[in-house]
Amino acid sequence: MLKRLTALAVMLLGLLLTPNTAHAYAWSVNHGYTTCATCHADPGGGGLLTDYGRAQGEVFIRTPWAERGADWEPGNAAQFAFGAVELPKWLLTGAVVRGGPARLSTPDTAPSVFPIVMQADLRAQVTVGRVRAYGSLGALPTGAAEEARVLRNDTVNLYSREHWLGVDVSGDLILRAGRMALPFGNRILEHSAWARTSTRTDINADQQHGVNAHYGKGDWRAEVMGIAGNLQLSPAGYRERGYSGLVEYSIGPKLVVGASSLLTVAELDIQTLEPRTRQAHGLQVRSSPVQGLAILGEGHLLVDASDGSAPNLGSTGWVQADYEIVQGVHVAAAGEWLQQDVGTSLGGWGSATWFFAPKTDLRVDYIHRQNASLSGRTPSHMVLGQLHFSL
Amino acid sequence: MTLRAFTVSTLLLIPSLAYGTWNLEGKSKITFHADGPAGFSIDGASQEFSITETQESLVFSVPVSSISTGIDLRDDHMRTYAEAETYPTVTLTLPKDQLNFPAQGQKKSVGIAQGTFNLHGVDQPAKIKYAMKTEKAGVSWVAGFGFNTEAHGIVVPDYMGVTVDPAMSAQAKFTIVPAE
Repeated sequence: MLKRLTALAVMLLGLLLTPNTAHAYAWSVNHGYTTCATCHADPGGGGLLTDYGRAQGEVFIRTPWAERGADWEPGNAAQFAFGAVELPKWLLTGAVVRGGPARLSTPDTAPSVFPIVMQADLRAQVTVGRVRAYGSLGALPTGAAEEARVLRNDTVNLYSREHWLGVDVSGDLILRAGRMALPFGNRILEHSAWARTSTRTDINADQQHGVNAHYGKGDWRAEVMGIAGNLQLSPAGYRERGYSGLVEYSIGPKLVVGASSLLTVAELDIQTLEPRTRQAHGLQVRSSPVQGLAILGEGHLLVDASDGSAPNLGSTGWVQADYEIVQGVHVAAAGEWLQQDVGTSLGGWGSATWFFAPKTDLRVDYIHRQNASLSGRTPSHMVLGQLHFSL
Repeated sequence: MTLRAFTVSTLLLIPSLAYGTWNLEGKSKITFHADGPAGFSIDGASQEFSITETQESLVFSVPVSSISTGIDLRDDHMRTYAEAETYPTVTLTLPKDQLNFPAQGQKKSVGIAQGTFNLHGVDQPAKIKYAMKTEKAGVSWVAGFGFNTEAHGIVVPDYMGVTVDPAMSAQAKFTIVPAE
């Protein structure tokens, strides 16, 4: 029994540590893309791709295996199901699977190797005039994406990370209501980065229900969301209410600076099981100082107050350098920190990704962390391989 | 002011004497900026541009084929929309009498000139804001202006549902020196 529980705990830790849940290539700033709305149905980035985004997957993301002539176009490789099914203009859809083996070791557990399936999602968006309806549905082993769960049994979670209705008020402004990723910081793939987990703003399962306004015009982008809580959590006391938002400015085609802010209040926090007010306020940057290199950075002040106690101040941050050696082949190094009342945790990531075929990539990560606790720092090591395929 | 810089200013102040006497020196760059929906933007650049001179004007020319937006396919589309094979060059013509060069003893000057921008074979008036600075060996410029591609007969680009605002802007940075 103890062995099973330990194995389960290791797997859950693995799920928490594993990066990548969706397309959200913030390093696209290296190709002059400072915003996300042209490539993603969610204007803040990640998730379902637009037709334009699908095309860019072929144009500048994957490795071209042959010389591309003057009349080259992405063709069927960029289409849904490789063009086998022609979709009407009002429908965007996609399917994605991501998974692979992971090896985790900590001082308290023997090294263990286990498989992880991170994504098995279907996504679609229907557009009628100015109105859009977006939804995703997936199935994973019980224990994964719990916050997004809609149904479960002993072995499988059926979950929906995102579902929302939106209105394109103009080409610059979209209003949405439903479950969606919180606008905060850089929308990076590495959902287990402390900058994401400590602020609860990842694109794995931290989406919340609420109303959202996204505005982008010229060099400015702003997004604000009134958070009504994650309605897939019960009882209602667990749900956080508040706001999350960001504003960004592009200083030229390859440098974006921005600020983010978040405040939530919960009657009963799902982690501390106490009334809790969380705040996070900080800055983010995306830049490409030289061709091929993208720098993604963010740092946030954390203010955490539980019922009856003085607020705890902390901070978190993430700095990543991604270098595209040749088109489709990326190596990246990242550093992160999380300062809390128990001390400062430090982490380092090394990653390599190869987009070697249409809609397919292979990624390997090594994550080393020094996790702060009252008894000092505890190291953990994780190696993760993953194959990602979408239709 | 050095003797050479003084010569630069003097030559430019006397258009008829300045005919055919200028070269570009060092790194020159011309850029354009276009906006799309929801904060999407496209920036293109070329370092291949040239300056020629008539009795009344300075004419700046850029080969359309030299302009790069960083993505080859997008460059191909841009050339198709601009019909680069038929209209291979973009030009900006600036009458010299519209230009306010740094006077003797001055390091800098700024001004607004009425020029003519030729894109896609179509001339349109252009209002160019510029700043000039006297350098050791010539005059450096930073100049910019807005233009509308529809006014030049170019249809609004549309790729996979993403369009580009035809109201665009261009900027140039360069240094000119008198020919030896």
